[in-house]
Amino acid sequence: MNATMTKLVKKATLATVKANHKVSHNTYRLCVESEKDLIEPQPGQFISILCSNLVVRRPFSVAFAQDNYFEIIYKVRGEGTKYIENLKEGQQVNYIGPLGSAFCIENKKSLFIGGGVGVGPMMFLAQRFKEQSIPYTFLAGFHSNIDIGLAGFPEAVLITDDGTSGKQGSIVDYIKEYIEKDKIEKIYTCGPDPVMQKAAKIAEELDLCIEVAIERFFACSVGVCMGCSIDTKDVDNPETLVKKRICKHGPVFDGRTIVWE
Amino acid sequence: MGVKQNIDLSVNIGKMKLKNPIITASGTFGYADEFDEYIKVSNLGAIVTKGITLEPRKGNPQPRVQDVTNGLINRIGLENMGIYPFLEKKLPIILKEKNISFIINIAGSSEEDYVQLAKICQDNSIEAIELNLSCPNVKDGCLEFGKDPDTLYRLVSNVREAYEGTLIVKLTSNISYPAQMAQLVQKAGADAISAINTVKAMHIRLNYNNNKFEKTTIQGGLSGPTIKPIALNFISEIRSVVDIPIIGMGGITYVQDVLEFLSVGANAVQIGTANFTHPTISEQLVDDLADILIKNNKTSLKECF
Ligand SMILES: Cc1cc2nc3c(=O)[nH]c(=O)nc-3n(C[C@H](O)[C@H](O)[C@H](O)COP(=O)(O)OP(=O)(O)OC[C@H]3O[C@@H](n4cnc5c(N)ncnc54)[C@H](O)[C@@H]3O)c2cc1C
Ligand SMILES: Cc1cc2nc3c(=O)[nH]c(=O)nc-3n(C[C@H](O)[C@H](O)[C@H](O)COP(=O)(O)O)c2cc1C
Ligand code: FES
Repeated sequence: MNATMTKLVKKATLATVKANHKVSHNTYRLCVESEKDLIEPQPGQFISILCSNLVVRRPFSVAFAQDNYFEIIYKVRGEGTKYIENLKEGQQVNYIGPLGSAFCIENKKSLFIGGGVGVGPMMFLAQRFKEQSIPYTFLAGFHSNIDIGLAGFPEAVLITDDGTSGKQGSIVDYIKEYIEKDKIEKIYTCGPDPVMQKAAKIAEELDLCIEVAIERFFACSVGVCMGCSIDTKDVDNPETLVKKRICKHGPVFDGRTIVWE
Repeated sequence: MGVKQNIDLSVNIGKMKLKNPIITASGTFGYADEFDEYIKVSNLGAIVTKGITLEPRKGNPQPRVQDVTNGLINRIGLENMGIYPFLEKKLPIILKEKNISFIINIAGSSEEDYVQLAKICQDNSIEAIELNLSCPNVKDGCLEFGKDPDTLYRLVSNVREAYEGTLIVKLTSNISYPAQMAQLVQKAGADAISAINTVKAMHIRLNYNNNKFEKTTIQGGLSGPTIKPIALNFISEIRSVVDIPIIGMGGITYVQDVLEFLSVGANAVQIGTANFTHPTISEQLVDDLADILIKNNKTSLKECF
């Protein structure tokens, strides 16, 4: 970086709620407009929201962004997400971000594997692929039809565990089929660990590149508390384990480097 | 934001002269560079590094953090790169930020570790160190160094002998006789006491599944607003028996909290968990403190309590 360049100071920023609506029985989409010029988030990056008087901010992947506007897709789990669910149009949200690493977009035929709210960042990635006319196949997996939180991607292949919508089964059962059918060259995934782990295993077997977006509990979201630190492998030297902080070095990692627990 | 004209917030801790009493707490501010994006770090009174050990440490497996009502439980397990890589890689980054006082927080698993770390800091002209004594003494049944009066006195005396800079001893709150421990620390030659470290705590999550409870437990150190009353009491107890400066901490989030700590006898304060809630809070508190003084027609901190 040029030493004389003025440093970009990120502050906790306020954003105004534009919409906050249900997309499935417990999943919502929060749409906000930032008060200040937004450093444009890239697919894979996250923002961290101050939820009422909770001591720790809650991290969420960006599901769409344009100019000062962005969206997250979230599942209501506990106090923090309950607070977000109750935000009304016009109310303000205090957030920091965008934070963390982004997916590396390459001109390769790609497979997106999104499980549950993991479809959020996959939708954002699909948007960018569309803009750049790079072909992709989008697998979106949910437990049941009432969980489906996907809109605007009619091309996505729906898979539900109970078969109430789309194809029946686990999303991992369809990975190989689509890799072969669509001549996939690279995989991107965000979802539950077992799904990403299986995808990484398949990628390794077939010698494909894979990028995974990992989630763990965060305390600081900015790389100082070591709360989100995980073991990673060096690709060329898999015996050596290196600690990486998800919030700083991730959440997007080369799938081959992850030590799955 | 920045220094307000004609307001003197300065404090002396040992040989250190701090611009103001706002210090960031160990383990909550990394090695300062991460916060460059949020604040002007040199506006702070000082920063304390994450705990550093002789050898690198990998820390505990996940999960490491869990928030509770008004607090946070952590079991990071002192993940750090070790003193030598720190001196080589991180120290130059901190030093580049001129005009900043910094304190190295050191931790060990034996008394010898602490003395050796202190010597290394002495050899590298480190201005100030803070001893984290809430670590298990591996050679002595893993009792925390800060819990046994004899160990505490011997350890602090030996470190004092090895190190000429400002020596701060951080006390654990998990002890029965804070006043006695504080007196020993002063007698052993420490320049200041900092307190409190996190409070031992546990979080339980029960999931009712297939007619039985599944239990997830996280055991670690509690920090944040919920420990403030414990910290205030602790500091007021030790203030009555020692003369050396006390750096108070535990749940400080607002300027009101800073004033409360100063009012029970702290000379400076550290900001920990609040950095996670509001990454700009430490710098904000410097400003707010100056504002409070102006509003109350005071020109220096010394006039307040
Ligand atoms: C980088 C990153 C990106 C994320 N992106 C999204 C997203 O786009 N959409 C979304 O809905 N969620 C996302 N999450 C998870 C989200 O942060 C948590 O769901 C949220 O913090 C829960 O807060 P709460 O107060 O509602 O729940 P809590 O009261 O904290 O917890 C309630 C329940 O949720 C579980 N839980 C809490 N946090 C997590 C977590 N991080 N991972 C797994 N389980 C958790 C707990 O085990 C508990 O059972 C992301 C997490 C990370 C680290
Ligand atoms: C995530 C985390 C990591 C910490 N790491 C250290 C450490 O390495 N050494 C140390 O002396 N204290 C450590 N502490 C304790 C803090 O420095 C401080 O004493 C405590 O959190 C109370 O202050 P607070 O309530 O303002 O956070 C840590 C605290 C937290 C929350
Ligand atoms: S959440 Fe604190 S280092 Fe990642």
